[in-house]
Amino acid sequence: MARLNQGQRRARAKLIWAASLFVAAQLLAGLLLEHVWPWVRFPDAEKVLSAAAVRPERADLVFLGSSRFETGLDVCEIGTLLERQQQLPRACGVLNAAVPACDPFLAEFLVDQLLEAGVQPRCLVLEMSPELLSRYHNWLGFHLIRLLRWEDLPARLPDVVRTGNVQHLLCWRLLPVLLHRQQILQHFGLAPELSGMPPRYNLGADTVDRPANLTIDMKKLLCLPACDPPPGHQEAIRQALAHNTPRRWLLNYRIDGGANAAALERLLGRCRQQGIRVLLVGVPVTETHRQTWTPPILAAYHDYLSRVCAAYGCTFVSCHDWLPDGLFRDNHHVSEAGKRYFSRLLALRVLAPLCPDDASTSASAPASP
Amino acid sequence: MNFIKSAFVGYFCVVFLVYWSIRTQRRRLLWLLAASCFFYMSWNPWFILLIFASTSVDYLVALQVERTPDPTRRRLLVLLSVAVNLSILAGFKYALFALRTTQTLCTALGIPVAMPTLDVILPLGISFYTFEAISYVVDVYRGKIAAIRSPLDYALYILFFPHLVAGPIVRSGDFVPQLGRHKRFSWLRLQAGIELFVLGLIKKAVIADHLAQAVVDPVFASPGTYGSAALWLATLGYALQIYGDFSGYSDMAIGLAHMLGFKLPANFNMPYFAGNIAEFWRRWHISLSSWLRDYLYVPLGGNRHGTWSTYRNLLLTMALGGLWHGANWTFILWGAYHGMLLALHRACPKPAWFQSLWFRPVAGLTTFLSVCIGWVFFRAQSLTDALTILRGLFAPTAGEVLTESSVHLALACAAVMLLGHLLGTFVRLRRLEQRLQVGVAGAALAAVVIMYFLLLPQDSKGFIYFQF
Repeated sequence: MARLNQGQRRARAKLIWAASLFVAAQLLAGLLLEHVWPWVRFPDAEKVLSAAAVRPERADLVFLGSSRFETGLDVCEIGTLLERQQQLPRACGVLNAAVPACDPFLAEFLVDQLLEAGVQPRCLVLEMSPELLSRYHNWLGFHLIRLLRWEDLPARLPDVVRTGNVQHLLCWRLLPVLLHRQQILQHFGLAPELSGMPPRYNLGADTVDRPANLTIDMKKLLCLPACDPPPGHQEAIRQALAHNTPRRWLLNYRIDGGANAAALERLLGRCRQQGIRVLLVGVPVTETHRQTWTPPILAAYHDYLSRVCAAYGCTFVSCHDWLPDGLFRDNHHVSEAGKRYFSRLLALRVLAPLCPDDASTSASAPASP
Repeated sequence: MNFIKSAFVGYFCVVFLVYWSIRTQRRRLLWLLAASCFFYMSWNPWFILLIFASTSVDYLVALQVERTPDPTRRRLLVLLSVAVNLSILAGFKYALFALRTTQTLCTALGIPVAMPTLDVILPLGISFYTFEAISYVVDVYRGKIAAIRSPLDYALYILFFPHLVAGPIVRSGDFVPQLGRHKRFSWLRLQAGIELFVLGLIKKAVIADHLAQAVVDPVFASPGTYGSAALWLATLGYALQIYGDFSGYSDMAIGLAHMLGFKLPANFNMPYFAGNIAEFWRRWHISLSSWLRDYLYVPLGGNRHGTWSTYRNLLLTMALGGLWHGANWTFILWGAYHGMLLALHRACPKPAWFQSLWFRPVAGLTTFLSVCIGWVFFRAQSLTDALTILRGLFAPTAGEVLTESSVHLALACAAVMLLGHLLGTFVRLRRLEQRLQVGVAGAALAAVVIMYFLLLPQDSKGFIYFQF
């Protein structure tokens, strides 16, 4: 091999230095983001905990789920309706702790964080659907980016490979600065934060000044809003479904033995220990979306939920078909009108009858609208 | 596959490693050709057939031109090649424009006519490789270069992926001799290539894309709603955006070629420091301006047939240069505007104090502002929008203002660009870098890459010149 001249040697040394320092800086940044600034990786969770920190003791009702719950629930509407319907002495504090891509695996983590922060809800409402319980664990890629640490890697590696998340894993470990650049800049005040998000926490008033003859016009509140979908709406739903729901979730559908099922059962066990009532709510989705749930999938799903409800004393309410497709903006996220309507339905048809302040209320699931 | 996407980084790593592991030069070239075909086909697989077809015609025509002694037949062969190339370009790029213009004219004249609608996909890079092919055949005809014997060499000259999509427009005389030389791997070239590539990335993805998102796109989308201050900021912002975008792409292309052992010509040389419009065109898109000079302006007569012919040739060359950029009257007007400026520059007397040091900044600023006015036509979505913007620039107009953060961003980008121009002009960066400890130099390169990662916008935009 020809000897390198001085310029060549310097160039080689410089590139080796640059590559080594680059990798070292990325690894260091990754460790800092894991241990020193963990919420930079997971700003959605930070927002939930910041909202709860206002008055954690007032969060009577906590919702946990994915973006379907995050954008599909109006906490003010729910809190107000519960307060009126139940004639409560003080308003019911409602906290929407849902974050995008939240399955039971992530919900367990969030519940731990909320309990540590002093939130002690009387009722926890958890979003349910067949995808969330699937053994396939499709949202593992999101958890790699925002939650998991080096020490979690050995246990999660088989799932990472099986779910095709190796690229996410490499980005998470080798390029954390690239992955979290927007959050890093926002954390240090170098980029504006997103504003205009709906409120997450409805504290309500400490005392309620209610007219004696106040009645709720249920018929008016539960009247289905106008929902004539625009032309091409069904096609848009089909395209969104193809984009949002990989078929891999639904092939060889199994629940038992998966990380989500295990996390759900641990979460239910902890809630039972803490005296927190748990309500599992099947989140509304479009008919097109429901058509992907074949009879075997639904059978496995309902069978599993019956078992956990019996084992942990929780309740499952299926709201999957409560809303017409016209109240959705894609295959599984409701529109503004759908959000208000679903919030009313949930408050008046499900939560009010199961209100935790009424200890004598039976735990039977109400009829669908 | 786009230079700024992660998929391209993976692709290039494979191409690079395999290329340098191959021992023989011919096999390396075969590998490069295959890689270039794969690169082009990743955009649209069928258009590779179009390039092969036009490449075959030019290859065969050039060989025939060289063999044929009869001047008339030689001229006819060249015309055949040029006609084929320009027909393909016109068919894909200008047919719809011609139909629309004819329809507008007929409507204006009261002639009812129904034009067919066309749905044409523009093949990527067609404007660039068409010009390269024409320059090759004409150079063979002029006897400047010998016809390329090897079809592999000619195909690689056209298809070489670093410059295939958006230039630089490479002359065969500069590129083809490099194919015959056996290349040895060089750490120096790798270092230079990586640094150029990173510089290009920063210019494009950090400066140009941020300016586009925060300042330029909102204003040019609805110029009538914005006031004069916002219009000025957007116009200046676009001047920086297009420079960052295009010179960034050129830097990346040149850097990639370096890493493979090839030298592509520089395409930009601190253009916004030009002291007059002629100097601007010697510094901006150098490969295009020199092509227009050698294959359009000079054949039209150049400056050899009197003053008014010179002005006409300048105007025509630049107007056609504008048309090359896009099938829209705004591009033609942009080109004609620059032709007019060049003619004006020729016509105006230049006293000795024009060259003095104190006048240089004034001349530079005047040139820069003149160029910015031209960019209004280049960027505006229609002639109406361009006139609205110009009206707002020169007559104080009330309207919406940009946010404080957008203004700060624009100023920061302008400061960075100015600093870059100053460093490039007055500081010998390479010599400075040589004085640093190698660890410090390496740390500086790593820091620049990490800064690029931090400042990369969430959504990157495509390259402006890909649409040409």
